[in-house]
Amino acid sequence: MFASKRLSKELTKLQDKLPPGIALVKADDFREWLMDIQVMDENPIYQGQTYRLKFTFSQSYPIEAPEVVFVRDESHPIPMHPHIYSNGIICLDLLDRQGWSPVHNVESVCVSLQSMLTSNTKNERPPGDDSFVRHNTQRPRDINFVFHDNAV
Amino acid sequence: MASLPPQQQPQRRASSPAESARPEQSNAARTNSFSADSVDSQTLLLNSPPTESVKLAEAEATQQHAPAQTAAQSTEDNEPRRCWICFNDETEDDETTSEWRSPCPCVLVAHEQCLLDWIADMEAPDSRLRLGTTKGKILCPQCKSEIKLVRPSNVVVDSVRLSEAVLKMMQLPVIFFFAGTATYTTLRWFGKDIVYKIFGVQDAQTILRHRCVPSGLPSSSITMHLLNHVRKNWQIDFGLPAIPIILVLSRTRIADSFLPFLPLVFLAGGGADGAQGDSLLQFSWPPSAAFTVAILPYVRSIYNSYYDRFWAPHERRWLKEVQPRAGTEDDIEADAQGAEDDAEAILNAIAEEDEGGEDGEDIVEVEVDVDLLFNWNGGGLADNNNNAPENPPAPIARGPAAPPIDAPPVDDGVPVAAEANGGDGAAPAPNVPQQPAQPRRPRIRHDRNNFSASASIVNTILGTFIFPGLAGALGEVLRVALPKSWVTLPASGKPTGFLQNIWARSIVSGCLLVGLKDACVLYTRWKMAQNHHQRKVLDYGGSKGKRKNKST
Repeated sequence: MFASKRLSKELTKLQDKLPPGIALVKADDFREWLMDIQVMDENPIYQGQTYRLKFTFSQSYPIEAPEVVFVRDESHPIPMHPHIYSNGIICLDLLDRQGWSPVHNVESVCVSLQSMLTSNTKNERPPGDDSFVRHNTQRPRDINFVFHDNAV
Repeated sequence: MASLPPQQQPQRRASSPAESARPEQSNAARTNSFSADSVDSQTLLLNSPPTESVKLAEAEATQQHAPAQTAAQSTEDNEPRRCWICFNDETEDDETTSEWRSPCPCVLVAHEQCLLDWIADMEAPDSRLRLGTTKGKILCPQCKSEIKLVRPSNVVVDSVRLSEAVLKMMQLPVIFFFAGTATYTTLRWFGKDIVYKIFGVQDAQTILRHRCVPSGLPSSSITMHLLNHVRKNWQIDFGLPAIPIILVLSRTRIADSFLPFLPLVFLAGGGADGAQGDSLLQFSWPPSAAFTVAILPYVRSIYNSYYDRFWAPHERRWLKEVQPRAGTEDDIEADAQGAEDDAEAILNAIAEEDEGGEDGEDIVEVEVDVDLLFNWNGGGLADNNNNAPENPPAPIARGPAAPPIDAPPVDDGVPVAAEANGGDGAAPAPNVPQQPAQPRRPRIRHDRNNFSASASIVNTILGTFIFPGLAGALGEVLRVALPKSWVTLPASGKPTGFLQNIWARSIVSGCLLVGLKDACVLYTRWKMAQNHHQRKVLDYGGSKGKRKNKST
């Protein structure tokens, strides 16, 4: 109830106006939304590509952070970034319990991710990506990331 | 919090005559239309245009509950306020919506209930574990200023929370404390045990007692008492636990540089205040205990360098001979092998030295030839029994040509070994000559290194704690074996010979033990090298196929 009310408000706003490079793909219910983001400047790593984000909301959104991951399909790769694992899990403090606050919303998360990609210069995966992708069975929200890099 | 509405209602009822006087005013000013006399709509009360009575009620309400509320009110100029948590603005408020709050200087305003939900999530016990940094402080996500709460305090709740926090803080220190105390007590017990074994009961009591005097004077405070205790007994408190540590260290090469000075600290330091004509602590002939103990590390260094100079090369050579590479016919060549083999030999020697104790030998034997283990055991025991009081290097001095005195037990041991070990025992030995040497050698070294890493530590420590007992026992043997006049204190009480004190006998026999052990090791190496050349594989003829040692 709480979550869906706020989400319906966000949805109204998203349908109304969105920043460049961000598009709403699917928001049929208040549990799972799909968003597309593009990097708007000339960053060679991400040029000409569109990435798809999946937002999963819990009942206590916005008190609790949404679960945000990149999803891969034939037209949408997982962006290369030292904080994005190749299974789409994102290591970003504002998506973690510590960094999240209700002042964020779907749009602001998209904008943050967009700028995180824009400012990146390293065409690489996080260290230990292979084993993480192979062994991780946790949901993103339960992973305890250690945030050491504030330059994102 | 639910405390707000019930408290406000009486106030509003009190001012109801004034309210009823301005219903249309209130309705006109508001976007949503609640009637003024709707009892439970707080929003109406807050946002209605000021009349004297309402202002009064509101002032009282804010005084009690929310000092920041006036600030919130000032932000509602033209746009309706929007809660930054649920994104509802005030036009959507209904009777179930809670108060508006503006707890910080920035423009964020929110429903009180939303804020409280959010704060509850931040403060939830399991998230507190992870948060750690923002303990108890709620910060506005935008302006980072603190959001203050008034909460009813309850002695029980507070004290439970406090004690939980304290307990959590104490966990690690308590664990360390217990582990430390246990270690300290164990070490101290061992130290005391060692002192008893080396010095004998009487002398040990003398040593420990005159340092253990409880401070007789009643001290003014506990700290003074403790200080006094430490000042008088530090030698016991630190010295006793240090004994096993130093003993363990003394079996390695780590402590070579500082070991010689430690006994001086412990024992010589005691001479100044403690010795009341105590014969244990005087310089004279026979030397005092302190002097003897202090000199031991130097004796040890001299012995070690002597061993390294004269016996280590032989040991290395013998070890090398039993390696598969050095076949029976080309031992001369093996001797003359180049730097590569030397390096290996040094490695081996280091490994052996680290292993130290007699147990360490097992590793070599198991690897090389199982039968030889029994050879060594038999030989070693015989050596211990027969040659105990003799000059340690004696067995080695016998030339290779001389028939070994201990041969009979060696031979007895062989069939037992072959039978006991059955197939697996005999298996490695025949392989040795046939197999190409190169692939095998790295494996040996590898195994040994693996072994020695953990085994050598255990061996060293075990050996350390057995050693004083052995030395004490051998001291008793000395007492029985040596002439009476050497080992009995004269009636006058002043010792005339070095061996008349128990501790002296213990120390001497400790030295003897070290020498004996090295002698055994060297003898074993030599004997192994000898036997290695004389092994033969027997043709299957009788009922059992087993190898026989032809050395006799």
